[in-house]
Amino acid sequence: MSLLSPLFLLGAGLLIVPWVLHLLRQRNAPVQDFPSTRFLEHSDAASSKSKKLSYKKLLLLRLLLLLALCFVFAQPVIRTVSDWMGSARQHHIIVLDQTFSMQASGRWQAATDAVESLLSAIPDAHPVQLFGWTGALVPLHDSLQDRSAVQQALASAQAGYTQGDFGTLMRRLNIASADISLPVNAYLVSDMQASAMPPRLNDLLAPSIAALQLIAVGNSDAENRWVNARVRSLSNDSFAIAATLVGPPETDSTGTSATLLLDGRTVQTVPFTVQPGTTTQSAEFDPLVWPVAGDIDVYDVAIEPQDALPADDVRSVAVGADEQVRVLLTGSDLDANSRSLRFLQTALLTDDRNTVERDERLTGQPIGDFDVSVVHIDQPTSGDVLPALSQAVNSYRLAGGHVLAVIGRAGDYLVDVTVPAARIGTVDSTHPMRLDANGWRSVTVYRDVPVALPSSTSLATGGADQFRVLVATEAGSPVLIEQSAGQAAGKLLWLTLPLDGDASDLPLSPAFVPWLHSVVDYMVRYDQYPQRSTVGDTLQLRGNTQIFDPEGQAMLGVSASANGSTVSLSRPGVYQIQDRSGLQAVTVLTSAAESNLTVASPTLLTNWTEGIQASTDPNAVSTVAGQSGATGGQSSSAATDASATEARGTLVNLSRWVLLLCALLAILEICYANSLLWVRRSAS
Amino acid sequence: MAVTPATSRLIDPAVLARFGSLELVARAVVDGVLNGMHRSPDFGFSQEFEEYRAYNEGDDPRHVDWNVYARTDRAFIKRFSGDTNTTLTVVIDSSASMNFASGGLTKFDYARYLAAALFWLARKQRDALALVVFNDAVTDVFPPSTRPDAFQRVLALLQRAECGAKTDMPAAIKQLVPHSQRRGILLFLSDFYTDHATLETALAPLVAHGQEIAFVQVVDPEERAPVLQEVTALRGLESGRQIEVSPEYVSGEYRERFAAHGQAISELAVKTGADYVQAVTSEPVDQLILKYLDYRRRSGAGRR
Repeated sequence: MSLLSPLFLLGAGLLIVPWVLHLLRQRNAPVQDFPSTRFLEHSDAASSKSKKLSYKKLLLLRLLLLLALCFVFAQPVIRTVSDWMGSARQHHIIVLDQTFSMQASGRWQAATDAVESLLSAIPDAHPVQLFGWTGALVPLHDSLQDRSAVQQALASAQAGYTQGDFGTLMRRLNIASADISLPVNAYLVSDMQASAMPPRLNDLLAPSIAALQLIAVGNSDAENRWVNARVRSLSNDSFAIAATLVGPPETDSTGTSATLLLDGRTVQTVPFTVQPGTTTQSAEFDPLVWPVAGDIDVYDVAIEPQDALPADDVRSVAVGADEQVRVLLTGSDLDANSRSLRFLQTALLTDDRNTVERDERLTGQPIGDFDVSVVHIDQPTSGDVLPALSQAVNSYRLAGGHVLAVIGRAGDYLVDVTVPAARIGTVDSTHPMRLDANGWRSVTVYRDVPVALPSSTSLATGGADQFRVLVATEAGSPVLIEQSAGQAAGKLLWLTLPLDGDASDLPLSPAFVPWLHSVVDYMVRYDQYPQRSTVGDTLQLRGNTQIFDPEGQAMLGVSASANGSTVSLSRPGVYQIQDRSGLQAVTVLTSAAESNLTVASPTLLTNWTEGIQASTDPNAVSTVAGQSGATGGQSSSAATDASATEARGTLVNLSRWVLLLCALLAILEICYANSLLWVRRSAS
Repeated sequence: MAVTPATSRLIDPAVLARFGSLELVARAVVDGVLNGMHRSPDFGFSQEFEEYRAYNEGDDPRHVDWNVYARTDRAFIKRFSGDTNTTLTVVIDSSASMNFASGGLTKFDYARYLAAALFWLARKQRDALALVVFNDAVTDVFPPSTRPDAFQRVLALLQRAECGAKTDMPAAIKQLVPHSQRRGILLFLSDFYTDHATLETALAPLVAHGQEIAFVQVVDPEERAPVLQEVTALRGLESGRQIEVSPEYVSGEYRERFAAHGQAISELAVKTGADYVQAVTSEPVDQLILKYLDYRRRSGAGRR
């Protein structure tokens, strides 16, 4: 028990008042009738007066009354987890964090121990719900009254691989609590990962919850490293896998090595080294040979020794023969567009899957075996070069090739327009390239650019081509246009701004590289499934498709496989999708945020619970659990902390009960004093 | 066969207080007395013929031997042994000090119950009944009478008597002397808070007249052995004076003084040839009567 205003206890000094009064009262002896005073003599009883108090029971009542009043003002509070004062029923919701970070050594055991302690502390008559938090709020059992069902659900629960953030959790928890008639006491048993905290504190509020108790089972000193791996193409025949060690900057990685495994067998082991001029620790394995066409090799890159979270010490890498995308940079005047070409080539090569070639193609020769062509179209400098180029590009496109046309100065086959200096105003957010996510809105056009829009004579396919403006300035001038010419033809995008860095800041903006990658993906891989995904994502599969999990087990039944289905990617590794076009790999990774085991600061947790307190009943005060002392591999320490959670809990203000005690004492004092007074009157 | 202790038949004074009627009280007490006797007391009625004597005015006509009157034309009274035909005069103190009660029964109530019971016994042997109520003077007098309604009348007088002023027992006795020409039993029910020497002087005419005197000192248990938890101001019922006394005093010296007071009354009784009994109000009335009768039998009183 503690006191919110302990200074009021100084009022206990008033206890001396009734004490003195009762001592002084002794000076007036009670009067009693007697038959005769004939044999009486006055007694000198001064000594006995000073020793004895009169009406000791009454004095005791009065002292207790004053003391209770002092306690009322001092506001005593008691902290309890269970049903305090054994009074009203409450609905208890226990949320057990099942995200990936809970797999760190010691955390899961501490969490289950803490939940068991909570269950034993909650009265049997109170309904209890146990939820798992996997990024979604998942009820782990059906019956609210059957504690054995809760225990069984707890025993079968496991930490998963998903990512979750507490803002989403509290929103879901608030919704789940809204329809519950009883006051809801929520308990969050989690490692309180800092990376799971939302950017705004308000996202953590849940007005439907009467009280929230945070039970932290994460150790603040846990360190974790994880590995990233990528495939780098060396040639048409070979590739290399590079591994990068990621973790806290101060982590000592001496002696850490990367091992490449194929089908469980070690292929190579390479120590991590710090790259010159950087702090990045990487390891590159010896070149390997591409698998045969249509086949996929799955390599595992593992770091040794393992750390607190072994599950992210291994990354799977899927290597397929058809991974590379060949991009041709061409145009009518490459020298005049050298800066644009440099920007384009640099951006494209940031993706290892791309290979880039430059060729002017001035003679109109066929473009050939390229996946994407980026064509610069300028005012002709001589002869009929442009028509020849136009013809080559058209042929290429009608054969299924994809073209990004970057317009330079206007030609007579283009419609003259001017793009005024302005900011980007309109972005088509429905396009598969996800242009709104690429940062296009931050692009600025510096000066008026006289450009030419494609006319019916330009790169026309002879059919009913359709134009779709994807990006425009605030004034409405088109900047990015898609020209479609039927399903058989390849895709064609027009960029009306020169990429010289003078007309606009597009090549220098953060939007440029992601946009260029999305262009390549849209053109080449539009019909393909994503090659990378995160645990917890879902995948919408088309019909006549089967998907195999990282263990190689088919995930769909015959019906679902024939009709198409949605599958959840619940664990890291390489999922393989087989359809009519062949075999495709989807590499599913755990979230890097979950691999960061840093826990939230106590101050942040305090602000969280104080925010809950302010938004709910002021009498249902919440508090923050201290950080657990559990360390990696020390599950006993975690269990101790879990049992210690009984000392934490809801603060219950006892003032009303003490006030009730005051009233009771006052009534007793009145009755007892009256009875004494009655005796005195009767005697007199 | 189990022997029932005699005290089990006795009636608690607090129970007597619930009777309300003094006659019922007297009857209940006397029943207890008679049941507790092992043999007939002196007050028992005897039918053994003793003598004839000439009829005097005032004698009960029922005792006239009409056969003798028919033969001799003179009226004679037929007397039996045990039919003492004495007078029981109860002199009861109604001073304020008699109004004290530590329990539910005041000393005066106790004295009234005792008087009523004795009157009942006396009526059974046709003794004349007389009552004198006094405090600082005689307040009520019922002269000796053997009339059939004497018992009801004396009880009525007892019933309406109230405690009043201070005690002046010698003055009351001086007033009593002219009314005590007939020999009999004079029973004083009082706490005797009076000067013993003066009392002895006042009693002298009665003793000389041959009255048989008995002192019954009515005492409350709290009066005899008071218990105090703290220093207390004790206020006298008669004087109104308050005296602060300590628990140590009342449990020590006071008790000695009170015991000496009782002893002085007892010695006065010896000097005057009187009987002396201390009656504690917590003691059953019938038990006290038994004790008194037994005392009279052993001391030979009543056959003088």
